[in-house]
Amino acid sequence: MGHVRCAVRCALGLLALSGCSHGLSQLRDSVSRFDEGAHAVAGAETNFLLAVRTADCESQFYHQAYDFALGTTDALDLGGPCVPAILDDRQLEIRRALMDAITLYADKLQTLVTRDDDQQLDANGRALAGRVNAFARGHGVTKLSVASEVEAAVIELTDLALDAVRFESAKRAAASMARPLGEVVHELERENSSFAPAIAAKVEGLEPQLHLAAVAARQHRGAASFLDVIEARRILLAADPFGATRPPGAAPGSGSDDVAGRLDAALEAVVQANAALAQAGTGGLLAAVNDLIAKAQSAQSLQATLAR
Amino acid sequence: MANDAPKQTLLDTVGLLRSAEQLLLVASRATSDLGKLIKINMEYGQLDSFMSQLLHAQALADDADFARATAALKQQAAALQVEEADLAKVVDDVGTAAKIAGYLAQAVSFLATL
Repeated sequence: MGHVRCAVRCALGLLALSGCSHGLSQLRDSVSRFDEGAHAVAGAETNFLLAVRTADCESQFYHQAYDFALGTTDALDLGGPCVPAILDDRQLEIRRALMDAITLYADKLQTLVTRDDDQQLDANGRALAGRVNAFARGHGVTKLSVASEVEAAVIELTDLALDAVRFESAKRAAASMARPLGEVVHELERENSSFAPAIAAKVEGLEPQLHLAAVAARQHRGAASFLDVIEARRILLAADPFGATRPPGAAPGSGSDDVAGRLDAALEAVVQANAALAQAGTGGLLAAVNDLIAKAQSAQSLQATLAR
Repeated sequence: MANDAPKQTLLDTVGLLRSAEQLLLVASRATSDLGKLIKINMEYGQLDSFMSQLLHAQALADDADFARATAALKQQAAALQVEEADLAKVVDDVGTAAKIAGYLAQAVSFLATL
């Protein structure tokens, strides 16, 4: 009888250990995917901001070419550098710091669940976290009095990334960083919705210029201008940085709203996955992380479009 | 970098200019008069340049730079009023011209609150 009891106890103990090990493995896998999703979203966001600059610079060139063609200027610089009118280098650097703060935080969570002995980021991660932290502490992120929450959030996230002992579990770290993570994410979301119409406006501004050229071509070439009109349409469609994501029949430039929406959904999924890590069991976390990956992939699909 | 009132005003103004641009685009599609197309392009270019300045200002990260940029934008609001007056000569459809002028008048009133 004693042997049987002992055997049952042993079996239950092994089952508990196996369950615990399975739960830990699931948590590690989910946090690893959270990290992967956060990096994918940051990459897509970077590409979106670069698309704002591309549309801005291309539009400046088209205006120059248009003025040259009309004879209002003799100057024509085919290869000169562009001075961005919307997002300058400094403004881009600030937004990169916001995205770095998010990815460094996700990297740090991963070290908390995968390493028992040394929970620090690797040397490159620590160096980047140190740079972003110093940038924010030196008021590099903002000197706007009204935006101090965003700056404080970047400092909190990178403080965590640099800290070796502050949190003993990813769950507690996630709970503690929910607010600063939300601050940074919502700042990026707000800007995406304001930059989307700028891209559309730049692309659509080319249409009346091409229309004018098509009218002038018809006056000079008659029916042969049919070819110019077709070429004008090709140029207009190609000028849209999000042309490949535009639904069939939609106007050039309209894809930027869709892109901004997809990015915002992916950014929001980062916040939701973090909340699930802080509050839910592994099942809830898995669902939130799967949602993040799906939305990040949807936003990432833009990269192929932008690479052309 | 934050959702404060002046930045929201800039973004609201961007929305109005964008609406005006879209109507100008519709007007450009309706004509093949070279003179009118040149004027429409000029109007669109001015609105677009102004919109870029608004977006640049709302993305600024320094109180002093922001104050300078908004002061410059308020001064340029007068140019929007001139455009508003020119629209009737450029856009054939009276209703469309009135709508564009309405958007620009609203934009000017928003900028006055900065």
